[in-house]
Amino acid sequence: MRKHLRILDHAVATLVQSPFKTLVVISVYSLLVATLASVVLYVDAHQREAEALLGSAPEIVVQSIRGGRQDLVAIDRAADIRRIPGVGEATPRVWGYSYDPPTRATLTVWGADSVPRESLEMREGELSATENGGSCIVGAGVADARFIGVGDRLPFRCADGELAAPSVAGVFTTDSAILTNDLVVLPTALARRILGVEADLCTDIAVAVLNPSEVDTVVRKIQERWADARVISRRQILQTYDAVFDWRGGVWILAIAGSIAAFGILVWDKATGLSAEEFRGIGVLKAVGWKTTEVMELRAAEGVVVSVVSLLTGLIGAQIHLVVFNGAVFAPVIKGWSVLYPSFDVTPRLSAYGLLVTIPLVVLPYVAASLLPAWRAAITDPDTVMRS
Amino acid sequence: MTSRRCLYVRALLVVVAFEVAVATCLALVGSRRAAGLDRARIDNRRLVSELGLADLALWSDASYCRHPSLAVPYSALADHPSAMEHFPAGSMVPPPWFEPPDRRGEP
Repeated sequence: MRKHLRILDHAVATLVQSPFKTLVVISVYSLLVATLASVVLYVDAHQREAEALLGSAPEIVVQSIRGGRQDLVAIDRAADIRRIPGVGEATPRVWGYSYDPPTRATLTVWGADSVPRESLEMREGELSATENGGSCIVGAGVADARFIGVGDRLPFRCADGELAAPSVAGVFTTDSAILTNDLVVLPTALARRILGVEADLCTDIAVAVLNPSEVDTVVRKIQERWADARVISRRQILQTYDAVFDWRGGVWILAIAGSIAAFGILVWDKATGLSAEEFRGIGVLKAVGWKTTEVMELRAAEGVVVSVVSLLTGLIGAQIHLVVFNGAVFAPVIKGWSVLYPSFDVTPRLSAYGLLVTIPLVVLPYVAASLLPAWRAAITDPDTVMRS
Repeated sequence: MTSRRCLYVRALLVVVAFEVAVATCLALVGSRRAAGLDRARIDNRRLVSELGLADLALWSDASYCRHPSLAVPYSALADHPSAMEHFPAGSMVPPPWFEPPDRRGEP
């Protein structure tokens, strides 16, 4: 134990003897760890948030495809789906999009008869549809973009050319902006007028299944029954967001590929040879009686010391970037952007997954690269090493 | 000589302990902040459940960006034959992978 401690001490002393080189290596190494850990933890946080929220999305959504495009579904189909064994409820839904010229944003128009009160910041009255508009509930992004609040009117040009100007009965909380930022919830009858969806049609059908293990069977039965049906399960919805955020993280990794390559060159440089001074140092150690295994242990200790310090510095950097600055550097790529962009808070947590991804990517290659040239020098005759 | 040399290991231990402490503090701050969002998450889950929402309101440029999980996979290219996908957010959403049909057995 004492011997290993002395070797570790000697390794730290060797690193301190060339402070500039050690600092440069630790800085580059830490920056790479900080960047990789930031991307991994940030993407992981978004995936977990999507999974947490959309875990209560409809179990099955049934659409109709005609001419290669999504088409409206006959509302009678909901009753037929309800008769499939294992189906709990089949709810026809009316929703769609409406372009808002003043803000140049596309709003999502959603037909519903009620909204949970906890999700609203301000509310006055209930959702109602009347001849000249009725009322609606808008997302915080819509309210901000249109400078409107409770009691104001939000005009829409209906599919029949008439104007509907429902009054704002409530505004969604900013905490729910990740789901509701561009949303305008209207009574279903009014949503039908705006979107031009006739009474016997709906946009799609949300299906609840009594036993989750029967979802695949219900999906198969729906697909067999209606040739034009496109069926999306909750599992597919969650997989979509996993793929989207993975892909966005991949874009960032691609963007920092240059620095990863630079680190690779640094590692390669270490692996392909020692400096004359390092070579001579190993020769001296061999000459004074160090065994090959001890020289290897010394070099491994140097690699581990640099790796541990850099890994911790990099993780601190990543945490400061994510916790203090909310991932400001990566946010535009990972979160994306749009005219109505929600402000939402996703706090990444330091996880075993993040560490397990980062450590093998940077630590193992560096320690291995420290050992290879040392092994070559250590097995050479000390006299030859010192004379070369 | 021995005690002077041990200073290096001691100094290393101090640096490592300091970094571990800072990293742990930051991780705890992050966890506390994440836990603070749990209340909002419960409300949001109820909203998703009641309205039947299936997507996050992140990218509202085009229907297939606003509702990537509900969009028809080729809707980005459905404007006209050989249409190019043209929304910036769309460049961040990967196209779905289709297994090409195996036609080797066909005449």
